[in-house]
Amino acid sequence: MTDVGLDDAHAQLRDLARRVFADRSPTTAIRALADDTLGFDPELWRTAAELGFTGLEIDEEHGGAGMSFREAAVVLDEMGRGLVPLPVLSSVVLGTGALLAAGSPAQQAEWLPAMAAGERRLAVAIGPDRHDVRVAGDRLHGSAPFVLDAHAADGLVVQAGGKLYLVPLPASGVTVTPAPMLDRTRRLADVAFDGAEVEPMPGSTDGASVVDWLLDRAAAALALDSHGGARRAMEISVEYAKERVQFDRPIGSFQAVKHKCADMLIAVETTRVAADAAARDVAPRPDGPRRWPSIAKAHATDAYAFVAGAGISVHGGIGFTWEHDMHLFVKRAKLDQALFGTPAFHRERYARLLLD
Amino acid sequence: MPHVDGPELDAFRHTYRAWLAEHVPPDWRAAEADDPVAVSRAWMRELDGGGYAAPGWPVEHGGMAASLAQQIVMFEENAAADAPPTGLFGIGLNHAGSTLIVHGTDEQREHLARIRRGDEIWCQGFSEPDAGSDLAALQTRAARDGDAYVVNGQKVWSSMAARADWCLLLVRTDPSAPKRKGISYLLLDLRTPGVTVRPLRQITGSAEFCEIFLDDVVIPVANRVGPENEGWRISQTTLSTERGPFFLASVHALRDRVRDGVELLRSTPGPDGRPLASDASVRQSFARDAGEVEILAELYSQVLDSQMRAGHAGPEASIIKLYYSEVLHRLTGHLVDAVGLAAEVDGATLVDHLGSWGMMIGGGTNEIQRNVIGERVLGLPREPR
Repeated sequence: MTDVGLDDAHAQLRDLARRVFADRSPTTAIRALADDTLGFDPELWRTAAELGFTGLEIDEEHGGAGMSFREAAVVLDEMGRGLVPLPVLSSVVLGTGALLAAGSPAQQAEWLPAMAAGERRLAVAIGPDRHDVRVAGDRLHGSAPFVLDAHAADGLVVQAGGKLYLVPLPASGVTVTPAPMLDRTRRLADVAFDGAEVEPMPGSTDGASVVDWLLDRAAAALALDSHGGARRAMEISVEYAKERVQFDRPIGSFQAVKHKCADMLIAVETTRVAADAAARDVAPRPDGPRRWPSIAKAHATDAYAFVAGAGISVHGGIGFTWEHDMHLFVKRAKLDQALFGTPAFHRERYARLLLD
Repeated sequence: MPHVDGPELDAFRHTYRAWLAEHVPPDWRAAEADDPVAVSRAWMRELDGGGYAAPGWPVEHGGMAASLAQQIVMFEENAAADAPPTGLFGIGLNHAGSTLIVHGTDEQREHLARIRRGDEIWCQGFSEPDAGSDLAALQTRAARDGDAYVVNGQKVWSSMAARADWCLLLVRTDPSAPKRKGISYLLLDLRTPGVTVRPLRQITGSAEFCEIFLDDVVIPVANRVGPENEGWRISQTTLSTERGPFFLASVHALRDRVRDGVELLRSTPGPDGRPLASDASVRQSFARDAGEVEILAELYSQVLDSQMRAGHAGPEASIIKLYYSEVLHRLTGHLVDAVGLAAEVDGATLVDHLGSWGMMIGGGTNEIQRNVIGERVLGLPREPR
């Protein structure tokens, strides 16, 4: 049992995703996108849409597959494994989630079919990252730094004063400035609002619970990304430890290396159960706090950073080179830790459930 | 914890619950203070009367051939009914039981009924001062003399040996053979002349395990399990029984420690006079540890589930003991650090923390566990031996 998810349908979805990402997004292709403005391959995005990956949770009436986060979890796990640069967390997990939970029937009818088809994307500005956005009338002012995939979005969902607002793009009064990133598999942008016109999302009148749910979805998605990436980084390192010979024997026979690999497996297996539990926890949207997303976000992203870092150590000098792929995992892990709340932020969030 | 319900299991649960309600002695805790061994023996006899003493054993040996799910149900019901403990019989029910059922002679299997009835407490005499992680290096010598072996040597880390009646003993019968080829497996009556059992005091202050000194101890050849010099193979049966719902109680106890930890942090003031539960750094480490306890429980529940489905555990099983002991170590260590001097005076938290080293060593040190995970799960090459 080395995978997230349970049944045969999940296994088929996993095989499909793994094959497509391996064929169409090898690390050579990912490296070629490093200096690309868009940062992902629009052809691969189209393929993902044709395979249904962009509409898994959207109901059939709006052109989706009518499934749940459990299925999205399988795709997110495989994207982590392949370091795949696609705007799935921003648009498919959060944009779709915001529309499903808070969009008006008209907003849903306008956006969801186009999002299921991969024709439109949303970016979502929520989370603890120093957003300073105010609404006056139907106008938005202020700034939101570090918005995932805002550079490639057809609209923004913005949290202001505990409620969510929709801003179609491009719009006057909105400036999107891509931020320079060390992880080249994802893109963040700073967004400035200067009197941009916004539409309220009516389902967010009870704003806190929708935003909490979206934050939990982001946490679960990043835990799944961390599991996929950590497992792959461990596999690459263990293979190397079996082949690399020093002192006349494979370095994996030495306890210093073997024990590091054993610790990597513990990190990966504990990450698997935490990420899987988080995916189960956010699949429905019951009221009340969920403990698993924050437990999983903190544990899984730390575990990923540990595993990828240990992967460099196992490889030695070759692991420190630009040509070797291990730094791609390290950089993705460091961004997974920081995105949508650091491990410390999520531990404090869980501490409130435990101690207060 | 694993999903254990369904109509048949529910019926089983209700039957067992009703039986417990009638048979758990109401005053056993008072009696335990005087004589815990007597309470435990009496409870085994009671369980055996109901047919519940050895759930995992085959029916022909007085067991229930209970499924893992049923054993989990019994564990839960025992806890809910506050039934007396049966831990003293753990080695008898698990290690001795499984070994004798698979490898024992008819005469040796007569022990099974006595274990079930609470008449025999067993311990294990495997490790020696110079054979710990390297168990096959054991040197306790058994020299053949007609229908008996004459045994000389020393065993150590034998849990509960001071209260035990019998011992599973590994001895060397062929000193000229390679390490694993010269070992035999004997059953030792601890009342035999020449046996001295000395409790070893642990860093926690209590003395659960013992040294066993063997000085010209005569053991009948009829007490040998399996052929001469085949003891190493047979010992693998004994050691493989540390599975099943073995860790269920430990995982439950760890969750209780988290609950107790919440109370401790709420009720202990920090340097600024406010409760430790409001201290930012304490909250960070406690949330991390409590999260890991939840992850451990989830992982263990999956191990039990896959055992229930497949009949054997997957690779996750090998990391349970390692992860459990280290989570326990971190949780208790951080609580001790948080409360400061109060840990010295209160004692319980610090004793728990001290005890966690035992968990990291017993049942194969965590360093050995990492070798096992590296070699048997990840397929890394063996170290030179």
